[in-house]
Amino acid sequence: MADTSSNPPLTPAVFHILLALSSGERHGYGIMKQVEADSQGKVSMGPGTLYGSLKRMLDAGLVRESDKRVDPEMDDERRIYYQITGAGAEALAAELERYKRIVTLAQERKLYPKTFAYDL
Amino acid sequence: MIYEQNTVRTLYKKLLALYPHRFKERLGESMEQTFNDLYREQIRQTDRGMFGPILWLFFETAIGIFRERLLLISEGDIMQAILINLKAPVLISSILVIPFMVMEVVNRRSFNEGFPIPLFVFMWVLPMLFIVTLMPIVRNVRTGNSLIVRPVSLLIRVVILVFIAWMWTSILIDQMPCFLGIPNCD
Repeated sequence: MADTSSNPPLTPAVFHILLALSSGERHGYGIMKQVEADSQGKVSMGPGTLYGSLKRMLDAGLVRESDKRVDPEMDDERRIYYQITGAGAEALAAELERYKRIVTLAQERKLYPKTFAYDL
Repeated sequence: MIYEQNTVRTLYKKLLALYPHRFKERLGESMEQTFNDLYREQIRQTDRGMFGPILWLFFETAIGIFRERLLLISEGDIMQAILINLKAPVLISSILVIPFMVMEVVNRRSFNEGFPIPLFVFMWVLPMLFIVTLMPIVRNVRTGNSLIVRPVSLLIRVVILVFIAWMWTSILIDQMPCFLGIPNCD
């Protein structure tokens, strides 16, 4: 179980970026598209929000620039890919743990219809 | 069409230049590439109309710039830079004014007058403004940059410097008899 006490709650942008990077290294545009796909189009992130969050995540060691460089004929070789770090994966797990507890609590208080509950 | 695309990209690049220097250095290029990707995507989906989404990207980035600038101020980087830059002017101004303050105290103690605090504050602020105005010129000379790259800015600075120097010297000449302890000097 992830330690939620040493990992403060994440902002929605940081959470979605970490979630997008959890399935592989991505560049900025790739992260945006993955966030859109993960949220079924409900979350759309602009470059200002994405890179503002990425800067803080880089500073906090949640993500790092990857060494991955794709074939320059297929893509711009200067393009920077980002990857989740161990600390980032831990922060994501802690956030998911928090979500899980909230859903459990909501079920216990009968705020969350059992019929729609996910299998936790 | 290509001209239009280049114009939009150039405008976005200019917008990115407004980000704080460190942010721009680290992420500016990536942001530019991401914008190009999003722009290409919009071109592919022209049936949805391009103006709105592109305008939103500019707007969203402008908000990002504002946020980063605000964070920079709250983190104290700018305040720290201002304080470091003001250290020398404060010190030099104090060195210039303190002898006259001592003269005032020593030579006029027998006259039973109040200490002219506003006069010395003014005499202290003027050299400070002089040094702050002069600093960018000195910095440019030190780094070997040409002074006449921005002639208007240089001219304005020189005019301000002359005005401050003239004002400070006038006050000093006017008040010197008082500093020297001459009765009824005002």
